Amino acid sequence: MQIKAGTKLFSAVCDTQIMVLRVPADDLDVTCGGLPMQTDEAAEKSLMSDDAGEGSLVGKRYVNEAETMEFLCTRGGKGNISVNGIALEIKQAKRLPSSD
Amino acid sequence: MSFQHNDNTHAVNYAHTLLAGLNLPPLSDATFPDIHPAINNARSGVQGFLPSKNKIIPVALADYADGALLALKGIAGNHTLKNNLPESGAILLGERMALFNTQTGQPVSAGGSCHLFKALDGYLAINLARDEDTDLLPALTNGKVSAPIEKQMLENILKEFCIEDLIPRGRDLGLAIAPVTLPDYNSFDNWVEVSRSTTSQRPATTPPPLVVDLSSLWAGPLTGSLLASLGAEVIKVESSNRLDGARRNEDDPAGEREFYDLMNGGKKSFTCDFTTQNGRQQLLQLIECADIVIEASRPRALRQLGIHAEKMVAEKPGKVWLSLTAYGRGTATENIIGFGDDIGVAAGLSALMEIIHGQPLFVGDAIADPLGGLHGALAAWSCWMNGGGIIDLALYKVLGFALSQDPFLRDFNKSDLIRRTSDWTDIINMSNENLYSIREPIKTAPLPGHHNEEVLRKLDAL
Repeated sequence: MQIKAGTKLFSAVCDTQIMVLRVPADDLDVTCGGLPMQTDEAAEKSLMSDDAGEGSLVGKRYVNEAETMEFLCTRGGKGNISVNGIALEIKQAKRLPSSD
Repeated sequence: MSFQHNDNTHAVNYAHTLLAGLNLPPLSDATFPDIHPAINNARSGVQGFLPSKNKIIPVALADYADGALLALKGIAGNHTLKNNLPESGAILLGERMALFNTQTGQPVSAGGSCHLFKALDGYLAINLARDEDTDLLPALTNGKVSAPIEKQMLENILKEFCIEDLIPRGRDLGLAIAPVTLPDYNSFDNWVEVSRSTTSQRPATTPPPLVVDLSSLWAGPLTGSLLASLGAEVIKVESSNRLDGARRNEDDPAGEREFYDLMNGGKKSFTCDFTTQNGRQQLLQLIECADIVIEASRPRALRQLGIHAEKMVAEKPGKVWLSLTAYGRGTATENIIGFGDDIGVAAGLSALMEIIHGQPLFVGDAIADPLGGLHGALAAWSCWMNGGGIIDLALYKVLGFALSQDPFLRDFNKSDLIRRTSDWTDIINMSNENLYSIREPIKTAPLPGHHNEEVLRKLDAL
């Protein structure tokens, strides 16, 4: 699937919704709970095909180990997010702003 | 509130309105100098520091700040410590600009992070306050801008997008983003929502309440500092790896350090690591023993740490939980972030400037912050005296409600507003009054974690 910054992806197995912040120009296999994520929300969800882990947390940013890709979870769910079969990790929160 | 002359000044009338919103009676002996709202605005610095050269704001912002502080002084009753409170609310509006030497009334906020942009069908404000906010701009523009992002490029690209497309996507992304538009001022029913505690209990008169202040930057810390002035013991709690960004170092300009001292000088400092089990346990214990909790995070942030306001308030009779958010608790709004300047835009101030002066501009410095902090202290102290509960204080609603007290905004009347602007401009041009003098910090704010041992001893003794 070819995705770009701003693309919204929906889990096929749970409530998870993510938005693409940064991706390399390759084809990526983005999955949640073991099934490919979709650009439209399915009316009925399928059963999760991999082991339930911690799931996704709304508001957290998810990155791969090399931080070449970054996704924002805009709605949390039970499924874990993976790209090309490797689970993404939560990016650590950055410094608070110094003034607004 | 009306702008015809009557027995009460605007500030007194507004104080009564705020108290009515808390189901409290009006002040019995309120007196407040009858300052013209135009002069009060100018002296407060909310229009910037060259009043005659700046664009008049034809709404009584400084009077609303005065009214909120007056109401707080009113409910503090004969409390001897109330003399420690600032002289007026108005002086708080411009103090950060004065200390940071910044300027308002421009298309960029005084703090420098909030920008007004033109979209296809109107203007919007985007506040890029956090370093990583810039990373969100490619997603906001469907990949049309990419790093490194230059402002000119962003300006050009945003012109291709519609407001109704950008605002929801920006908010999904967690950006502080707001349209330049006048809200429906008739929609602001009240300035605060208080859910009274089911375990309501009147507080003991002594000792003074223990306040745990989890907030950072301006609005929440200001509330905490006002409660400290009223004698509360305030512990400022920060995650040791994510300190209040407003903290300053020795080599920062003196004015910036002074502002931090004004907000946090009278507090104790406790730090622990929210990412460790031990740190989270200490945080939970502190919150459990607090009489008043001040927090300005999105509700999900504390929930993700296993801390639930409802449960905390139910478990300790009389506990007050002050939740400061941009747009209010509840699923529709609680995840939307906002800072003082973009909330000012959302509440209609920049649209008002566009209507009156032909150009959308920022009004004041993070205007929703000092106003929100003042209103927060009023809500928290009154809730504490009346048995506790959860206070849902949305900065957007505070500012929107205050502005909705103005009949020219409530029943929007452009020609009356233009006439008022011209009257107020004449008044400012004819008067030659100084800015209010800036407050001086009573104490230097403690270094991060300065009171850790003392606080831990206290927790162990419980």
